Amino acid sequence: MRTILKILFRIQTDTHCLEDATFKLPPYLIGYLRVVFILRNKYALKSRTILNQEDFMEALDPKRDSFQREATELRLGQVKIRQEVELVMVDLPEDQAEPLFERGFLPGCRICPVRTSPAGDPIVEVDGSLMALRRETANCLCVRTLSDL
Amino acid sequence: MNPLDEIEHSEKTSGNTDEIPLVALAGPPNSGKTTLFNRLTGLRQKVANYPGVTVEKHIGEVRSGGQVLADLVDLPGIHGFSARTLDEKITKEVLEGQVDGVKKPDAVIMVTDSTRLENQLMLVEQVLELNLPTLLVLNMSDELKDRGGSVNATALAERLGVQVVWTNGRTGEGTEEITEYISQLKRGNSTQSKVSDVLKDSSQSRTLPVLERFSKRKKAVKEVVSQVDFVPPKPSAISGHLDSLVLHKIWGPMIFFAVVILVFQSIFTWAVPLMDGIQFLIEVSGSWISGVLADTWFRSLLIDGIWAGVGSVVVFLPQILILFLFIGILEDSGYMARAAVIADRVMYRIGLQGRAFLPLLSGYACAVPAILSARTIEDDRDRLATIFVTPFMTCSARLPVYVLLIAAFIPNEAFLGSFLSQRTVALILLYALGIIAAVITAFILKRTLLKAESSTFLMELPPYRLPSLQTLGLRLLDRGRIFLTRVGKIIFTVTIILWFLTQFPRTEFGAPQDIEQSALGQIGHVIEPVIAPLGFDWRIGIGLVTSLAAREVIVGTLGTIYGIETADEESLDLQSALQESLSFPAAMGLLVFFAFALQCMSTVATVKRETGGWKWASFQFLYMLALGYFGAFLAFRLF
Ligand SMILES: Nc1nc2c(ncn2[C@@H]2O[C@H](COP(=O)(O)OP(=O)(O)OP(=O)(O)O)[C@@H](O)[C@H]2O)c(=O)[nH]1
Ligand SMILES: [Mg+2]
Repeated sequence: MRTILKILFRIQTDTHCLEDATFKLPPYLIGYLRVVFILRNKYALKSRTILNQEDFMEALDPKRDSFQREATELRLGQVKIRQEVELVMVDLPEDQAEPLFERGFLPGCRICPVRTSPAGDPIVEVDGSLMALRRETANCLCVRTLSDL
Repeated sequence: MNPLDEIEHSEKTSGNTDEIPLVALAGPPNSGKTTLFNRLTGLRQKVANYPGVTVEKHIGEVRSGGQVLADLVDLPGIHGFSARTLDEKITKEVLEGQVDGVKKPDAVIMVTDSTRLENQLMLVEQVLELNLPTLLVLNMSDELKDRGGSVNATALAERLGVQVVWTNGRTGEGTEEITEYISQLKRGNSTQSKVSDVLKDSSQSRTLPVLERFSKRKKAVKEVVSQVDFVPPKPSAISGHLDSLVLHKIWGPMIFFAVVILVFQSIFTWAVPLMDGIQFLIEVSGSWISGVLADTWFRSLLIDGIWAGVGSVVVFLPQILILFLFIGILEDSGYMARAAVIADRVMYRIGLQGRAFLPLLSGYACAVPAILSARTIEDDRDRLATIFVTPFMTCSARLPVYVLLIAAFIPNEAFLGSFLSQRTVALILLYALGIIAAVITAFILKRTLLKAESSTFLMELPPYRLPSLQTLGLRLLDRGRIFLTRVGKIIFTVTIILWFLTQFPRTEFGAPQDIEQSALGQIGHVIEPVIAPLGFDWRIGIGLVTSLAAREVIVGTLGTIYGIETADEESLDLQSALQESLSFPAAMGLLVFFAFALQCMSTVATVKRETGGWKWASFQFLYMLALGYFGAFLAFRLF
């Protein structure tokens, strides 16, 4: 299990490590992971995820299975209006994530979508300020509903 | 170390004690820094309810009882010291004392919007790390109270180890305490802030990965906030109601277009009586002066040169002021931030983003402040693209040219019934031409030179606030002053130079009889071959050259040329003179040329400064010039 987690962690920084001989994975697993990560690269999770290894291990802890699914599946863009959620991670490269961090979009913070713009982009409340962002960005913010706690 | 250096060094430091201290105002955007700056210094800087209004540093003096206590520097609002954007860089560099001519601040006043304390305190650690005496200002105390929030300021002061004061920038409440703090600095018994360890663990936090650094900061801030009994205020109900209208799926865009139309309508209708008034004043004063003065070269310079040249431009003051009045109201009310959000999708398609809306709208008044306001765009490529296309917006300097040529060449006849006149339609088409060029240019740029995988758009929406009349008025005064100084400097100089060029070489009768023989005429003939394919003659050629300084100069120039040429005859007005020397297709070509070409040195200089070099400035200039030339050529052939 730990090896796989390690691989997963490596993959999020560098997809090429799949070929890395040291891991010695069975070929079908490599194939499967490939597909997963190609899809993942194609949609939303374009770039390097910002997560440290510990967080990552914790997120994938089998004991917290529901958390894990929530964490990777629910995106801020899908959250209904007035439903408060907690940010789990920001799935954007560093330079794009930093402005979000500066404005308070940090893992653990509460975000509440209050309305959408005429074009359908979310407007959310975070840290007491109203913030408009694009749905593309919102879809890179992994959140979980508070009821799951 | 050279002993001499040491002496000099010690002299400098000992001299510092009676020097006037420099105090910096720093804090997150839209927290009220500039409002307080104006309160404290009596100076008038632009204030608005839009994050990122101040994009340059401004310095003023704080006085008390006729004595200068300190120099105060107002800085652009920042979220952090990462210095990603140009205005953040300015703030960072001033605070760290890296700017030439500005010494390192002796103290920092950190202004925060107390209604969003948790958000605002994210910056405090970095400010405290500067190791300067710091005063923490809890601004917007009125809003915090009204919306039912509170915080224990004494506890906060204790916790952070800095002095804390409450202020209300709107009424000036609490500013005496800031002045008091500043005067203590002067006396030199300021207490170095003893910063608590939780917020300050500089050495290692620098090296941490970004996310961890922020998470750590956030944890510390959360702890502080909970310790000082911060009760966050309830969201403003009025803002919520307004937003559900302004950002409504159907009403939102309709309001947006109504606002844009209102702005343009007002420029063209409300400004007219004012412009007529100014025109009248110029004419009356001109003829009065020419009646008083004897017919000498001096009268000719004054009336034909200066009065005609400067007068033709001053007329446009009302239009500029009205446009800036609207932009001021939109910004200060908080609508501009919403407009940016509404515009974002369309802008995104083009290759720009919502924050480009403000520069583009300001571009209708003048490209120079518009380009400066592009600083708030975080994404470098987006910012460059915005700067690149902003001069395509029909700035007020183009108007004199458009109005003159349209009035001279397009009949004032009804178009499509009686709703619009042909002249209005022509003007609208010219505006549209600018927009189309901007859209296509941005589209191409973002797919070639400025290609980026993705960009982000983040916009804070401040609560709606009633625009303060005083702020608006002062801002207009400021704009008016800038415009008139510009007219004074550029147009005045150009017209005087022109006038002299028409007076040489001297003949036995004095000035050359025919302007074609003058130095100016000869210059015009040198240019003529280049512009002949466009149907322009040497007079227009001179106009094109002088209008490189500023577009509207061409009107004054032509005024000077034709004025002198026809001085002996029954004075022919500029319009009929133009009709004689310019064909209709060529006039259309000239209009198109002005719609595209970057005939404005101030803009080029601003772009050079903002993009950090000649590369973009010269590329932009040449691109727009080429577009103007070929556009004019096409128009000349097609009409
Ligand atoms: N209600 C209330 N409004 C305030 C107060 N102080 C400032 N404002 C308003 O807040 C808005 C922002 O003020 P500015 O002074 O432009 O803010 P700034 O910090 O200079 O902003 P940037 O230049 O963008 O960094 C304006 O609409 C002000 O009128 C206050 O104490 N109470
Ligand atoms: Mg300001």
